[in-house]
Amino acid sequence: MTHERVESGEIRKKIFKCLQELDSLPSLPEVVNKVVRAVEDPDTSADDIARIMRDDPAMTAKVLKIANSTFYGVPNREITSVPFAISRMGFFEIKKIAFSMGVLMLFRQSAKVIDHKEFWRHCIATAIGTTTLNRFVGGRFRVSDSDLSAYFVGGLLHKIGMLMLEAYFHEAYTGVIEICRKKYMNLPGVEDQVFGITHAEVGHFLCRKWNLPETVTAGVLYYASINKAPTTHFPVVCHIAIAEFLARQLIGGFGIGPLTGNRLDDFPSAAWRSLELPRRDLVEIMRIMNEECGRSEVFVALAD
Amino acid sequence: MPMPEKIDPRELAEFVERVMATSREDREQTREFLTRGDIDAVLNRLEADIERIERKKRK
Repeated sequence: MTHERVESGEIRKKIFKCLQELDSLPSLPEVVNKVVRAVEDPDTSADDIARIMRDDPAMTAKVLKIANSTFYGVPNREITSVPFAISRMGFFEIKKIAFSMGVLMLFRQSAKVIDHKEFWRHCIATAIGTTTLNRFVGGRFRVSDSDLSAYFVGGLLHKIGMLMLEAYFHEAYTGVIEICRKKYMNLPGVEDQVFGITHAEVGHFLCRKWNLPETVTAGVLYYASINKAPTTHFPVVCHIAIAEFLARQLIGGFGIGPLTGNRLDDFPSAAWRSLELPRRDLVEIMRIMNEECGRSEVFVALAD
Repeated sequence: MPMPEKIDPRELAEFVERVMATSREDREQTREFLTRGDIDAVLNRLEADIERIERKKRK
């Protein structure tokens, strides 16, 4: 069958209509929402957050596991108390962990076209990359811990739309990924040409449904098209765009095969220039990212 | 131009040089374009996906 008369705009409308009319979209566990809200409340104590977590023993166990991992752990000392883990790691780290747990457990791997473990390894590396980059940018681009945790979440979720497309439009999305692999093409470019929509837009749709802050939703929507980003959110978009590229180089892909992951011609040089980063810093940024990604396997294991 | 597997500072610096030096011509040479056949094959699959979603909704 040929579809010469079908405009990509019509396909886009059809896809969005399907998503909007779905009986149930993936939603974050309530305990995650409670933790995130509590962290934002200045009157919350470590005990308050520990009490919320107590409702979810699996989460409590995972927080302790992460607190004792090489990513956060104190050498020669085992952390067994959640309030201590929270006060040691800090509220915004707890927010990142709670969010990562909620999201990584949402889309379970089945016999699908995306390798979820490699996918999340890439997303976690991107999230880590945003915080690494922020240490190197000049004062006017430095952000508070609260904003930095939003940068992290944006980095973690920047490709969540891929999992949505894989879950709901499995056959067609498998076709898109096969084209990328065969022709060594850029994923958002193929999605746009075929569907008239990209995973960034689908991810943005989901993040809006989850009522995530605009810093996150803008980062997800524009990371692959930074020239369209509004000025207000340009810094977060630039952070995610650069971190995403570096994560692809370090991890070797993002779950759809190695060939599409190692392209150098997508380097977001405009984002690099906009953050006024000196060229020499790239080596050090990659070195730190590589080191931190090596210790972040405990996060990737959350997807199991 | 894949990234060196082991991160050695000198190799990394060379890698960064290559990233920065990738020219526009190089980029254009690696681009391939979609054919009508590619697009039609995916859109046929999309119709099947949408039908499946619609059927599920009707149940």
